[in-house]
Amino acid sequence: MNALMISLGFFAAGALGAALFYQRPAWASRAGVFGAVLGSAVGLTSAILKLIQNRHEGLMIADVFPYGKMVLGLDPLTAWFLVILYALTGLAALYGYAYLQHGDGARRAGKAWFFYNALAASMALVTLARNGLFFLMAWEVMSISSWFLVTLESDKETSRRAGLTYLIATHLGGAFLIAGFLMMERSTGSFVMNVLSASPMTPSQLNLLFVLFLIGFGSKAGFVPLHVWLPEAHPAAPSHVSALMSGVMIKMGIYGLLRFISLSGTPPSWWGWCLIGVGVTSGVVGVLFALAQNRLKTLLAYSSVENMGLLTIGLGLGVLGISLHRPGLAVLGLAGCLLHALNHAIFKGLLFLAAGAVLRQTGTDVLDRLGGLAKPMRVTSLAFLTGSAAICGLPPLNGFTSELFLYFAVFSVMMSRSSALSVWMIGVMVSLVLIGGLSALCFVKAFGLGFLGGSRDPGQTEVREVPALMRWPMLALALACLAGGLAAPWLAGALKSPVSFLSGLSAAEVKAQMGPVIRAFRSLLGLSGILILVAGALAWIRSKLLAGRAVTASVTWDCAYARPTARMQYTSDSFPGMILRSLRRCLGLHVKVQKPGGIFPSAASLTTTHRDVFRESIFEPLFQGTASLLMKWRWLQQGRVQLYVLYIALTLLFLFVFNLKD
Amino acid sequence: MLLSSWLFVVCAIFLSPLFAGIIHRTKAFFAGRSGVPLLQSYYDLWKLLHKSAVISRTTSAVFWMGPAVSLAALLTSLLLLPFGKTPAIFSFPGSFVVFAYLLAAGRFFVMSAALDTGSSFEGMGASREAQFGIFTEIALFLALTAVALRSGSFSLSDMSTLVTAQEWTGNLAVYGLAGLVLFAVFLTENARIPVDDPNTHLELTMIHEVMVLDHGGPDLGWILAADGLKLWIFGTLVLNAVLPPALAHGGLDFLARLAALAVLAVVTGAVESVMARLRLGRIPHLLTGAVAIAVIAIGLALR
Repeated sequence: MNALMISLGFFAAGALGAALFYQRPAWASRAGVFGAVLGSAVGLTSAILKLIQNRHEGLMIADVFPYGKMVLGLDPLTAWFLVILYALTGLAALYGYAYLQHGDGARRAGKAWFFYNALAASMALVTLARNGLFFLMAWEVMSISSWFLVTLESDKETSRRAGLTYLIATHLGGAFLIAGFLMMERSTGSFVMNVLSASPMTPSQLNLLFVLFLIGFGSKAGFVPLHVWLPEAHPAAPSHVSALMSGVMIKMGIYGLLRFISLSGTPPSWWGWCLIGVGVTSGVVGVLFALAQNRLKTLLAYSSVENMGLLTIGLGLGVLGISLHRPGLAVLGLAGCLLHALNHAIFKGLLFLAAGAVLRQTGTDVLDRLGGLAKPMRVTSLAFLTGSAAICGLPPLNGFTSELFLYFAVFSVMMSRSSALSVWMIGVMVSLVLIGGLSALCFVKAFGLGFLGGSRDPGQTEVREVPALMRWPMLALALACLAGGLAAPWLAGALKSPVSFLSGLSAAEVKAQMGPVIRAFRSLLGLSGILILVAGALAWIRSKLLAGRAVTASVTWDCAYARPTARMQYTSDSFPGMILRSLRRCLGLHVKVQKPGGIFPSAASLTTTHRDVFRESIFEPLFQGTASLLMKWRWLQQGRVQLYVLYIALTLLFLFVFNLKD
Repeated sequence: MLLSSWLFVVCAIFLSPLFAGIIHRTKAFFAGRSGVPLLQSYYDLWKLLHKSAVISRTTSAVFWMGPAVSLAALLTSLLLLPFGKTPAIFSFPGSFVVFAYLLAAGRFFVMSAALDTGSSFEGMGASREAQFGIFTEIALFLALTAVALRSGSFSLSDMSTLVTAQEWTGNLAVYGLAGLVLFAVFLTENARIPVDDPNTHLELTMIHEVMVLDHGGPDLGWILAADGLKLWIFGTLVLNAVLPPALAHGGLDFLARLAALAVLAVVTGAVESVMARLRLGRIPHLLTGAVAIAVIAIGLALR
C-alpha cells in the first residue's frame, strides 16, 4: 500500500510540476512525464507483487467527513486493474512527450501533463476507493481531467464538439452513479462499500441498483447505445491520451460493475443474461460501425466499443455462472473478462499509438488519403500489424488467449448437456465467431489501406519515421502482445486470485476449473513456437533461394492497363462494401454521387458517409426535445447574481420547511 | 503420440500436391481431354522453387510474409488434425478453436499481402475473401460443434477418435449433415466451383487466384504448397465426419482413408465439371444455407 501511495505521490508531483512550469512548456512536459513514468514504474512493480501475494489491505485516510470513513482498500480485483493502468500509463507518457512536441501541442504542455497525471492518479483512486462518496469524487476527477485532455486542442471546432458530447455523456452517467450510491447509503447506513447481501436490501431494490449501475458504468464503458461519445472523444484527444482512455479509462466502467457484483452476493440470473445481451449487442454493433469508418482513430474507437462488448460477454457469463451455481462458467467467464481487459489495454494502446504516429507524420488519419506507409514507417507499421493481428485474436498473440477463455466458458455449459442453456450458449459462440470474422475484415482494411499499397495522396512524398521516444513504447507494447500470448499459462495463474475473489470460490476450485484452459495454453505455447519457427524457416529458405538470382523490381501487374494510379486501389468504403451495402440502413449510409455526363465527361464525384444511427435517431431528437422544453423556463435565467442568491435562499427555505414536516 | 500420427503429417506434406493432380485429371476426363500429368503440381513446385521472382516496387515485407505465414499456419494446423482413429499430435479440449484461428491467421496475412501490391484486382480478391470468410468460419464452427456435442469432447482429435461405430450409425444424420456443411466449407476455402473457379483468367470473377496474381518464384511455390495442404486438411475434416469410425483393421484403415481422400478429390473434380460457378451475389446464400444446415445438425445433436 505504501508503494502505491508513493506512486500516487509521483503522479501528484508530476501534475504539480506541470502546473508550476505552466509558462515554460519544455520544463512542464519534463516534469509531467517524469512524474507519470516514475509513478507507473513504482506502481506497476507494487501492483504485480500484491497480485501474486493475493494481498488484502486497507488504509484509512481520514475519519473527519460526515459520510463515513475515507477508506482505501487493496484486493486482487483492484490489483489487477492497477496492473492494467500502470502498464499503459508510463509507456503512453513517454510516447506523449515526443508526440506533443510536434506542432502546436508544445505550448499546451503544462495543461496536458497536469491533467494526464491527474487522470492517472484519479483512475488509481477509483480502483482503490472503498467509500462511495470518495469513489464518486475520484470518478468525477477522472471524467473532468480526461475532458480537459479531449478538448486540449480547443481551437478546433471538432474538439469542442467532441468535448461537449463527452461532457454531457459523462455527467448523465455520473447522475445514475450518484443515485446508485445514495441508494446504497440509504440501505447500509454509510457510504463505505460493504457486502450488500448483509444489508436489509430487498431483491427489487438490488435489481434497481443493478440497473442504475449498468447505465451509469455502461455510459463510461461505451455500451451500445450509450457509446456515442466514444467515437467523438477518442479521435479528438491527443493519441497517447486516446490510448490511455481507450485502454484503461473506459474499463473503469467494467471495474465498477465487477466491484458491484463482488458486493452483491449471489446475483439473480437475469443480470447475467442482461449483461450477455448488452455485450453481444455492443460487440456486433461496435465492430459493424468500426468497419464503416474512414478515419483510423474513429475506427479504433468503435473497435473499443466492440471489445467492451467482448468483456461484457465474459462478465455476463461469469455472473450467470455464479447465479446458476456453475463454477466452470463463472470462473472461465470472469477470467475471460479480466484477461481481455489487460489484453485490450495492450493492443488497443498500441494501435492508438501507431495511429497517432501516422497522424503526426502525415497530418491525416483518413484511410482514403493514406497508404504506402510500410516502407517509410517500418516500426510503426510493424506495431500496427502486431496490434491488428492481436485484436483479431490471431495466435500466437495475446488477443487469442482471452477469447479462448470465453469459448471455454461457452463449452463448459455445452458439455453439461443442459439443452436449453446450450442453445443460448451456441448463440453466444456464433456471435463470438461473427465478431472475430468482422474484426478481421475491419483490421485487414485498417492495416491494408493505411499502411500497404501505394500512397493515395499525391502530396505525401516525404513521410518519415517517428522519433525513437515514440518508437520504443510501440515496440514494447508489440512485444507485450507476443509475450502475453506465449506466457498465457502463467498469466492464467495470476488470474486465480482476482477470479476467486469475484466468484467467491476457493482458490483450489478456481484452479481446478481453469485446468483445461491452462493445459490448452501449454499446447498453444508449443504450437506457437512451431508456427514461428516454421514461418521463420520458410522465410529463410526463400531468402536463400533468391540470394543468387536476379530479382527484378517492376510495377504491379495491372492487366495491361496503361495508366494505373494509386487512387484506383480499394477504398475504406469499397473494401467491406458487400457487408456495408447490405446493412446500409442500420449503418446510416449516406451516398452523394455526381455521375460523369456528356460526351467528354469531366467532373464526377462519389461521397459516402456513415453516421451513427444511435446518435441521429435516439440522442439528437431526445436532446433537441429536452432543449425546446427547457427553453420555456429560460426566463428564470436572468444573469443577475442577486437573483441567483435569491434562488438559493428560496431553495434552502423550501428544504427547511420540507424537513419540518417530518 | 503415435507413429501413425507423424506418418499422417508426413503424408500430408508429401502427398497433398497429388490431390490437385487428381482433381485436374477428373476434370480433364469429364471434358474429354487427356489433361496434365498427375504429378504436375510437384513439377510446378520444383520449377517455382528454382525460379527467380519479379517483385512489385509498391510492395513491402508483408508481400513475402503472406505466403510464408499462410503455409506455416497450415503446417501447424496439421498437428491438430486427426485422421480417423489416428489421433492428432496435439490433442486438448478447445483445440478446434486453435485450429480455426490458425487458419484465420494464415488468411489474414494472405489478404494483407494482396493489399500490399496496391492493385485494385488484388484488393477485390482480399475484400471478397474476407467477407465470405466470415460465413465460412461460422459454418465451420457450427459443424464442428455439432460433432463435438455428439463425441463429448471439444478436442478436434477426440471428435474423431472417440466416436464409436455404434454412436456413428446411431447419429448418422448429425455426422452426415456436419459433413455436408464441411464439404461446403471445403469448396469455399479451396476456391472451388461453385464458389470460385481456380482456372478462370478473368480477374473480376476470381477470389483466391486474384489475390496471388503478383506473387512469383518461391513465394508462389509456398502458395501452391499451401493450396494443396488446404485441400488435404479440409478434405480430412469432411472425411472424419462422413466416414464410419473404422474403415478397416489396423494399418489398412490408414490406407483406406488415404484412398478415400483420393475419392474425395475425384468427387471434387466431378462437382467442378458438372456445376456452373455461382454468381458472386449468390455465394452468401450458399454459405447461409450451410450455416442453416449446421444449425439443424446441432439441433439433432442436442436432442
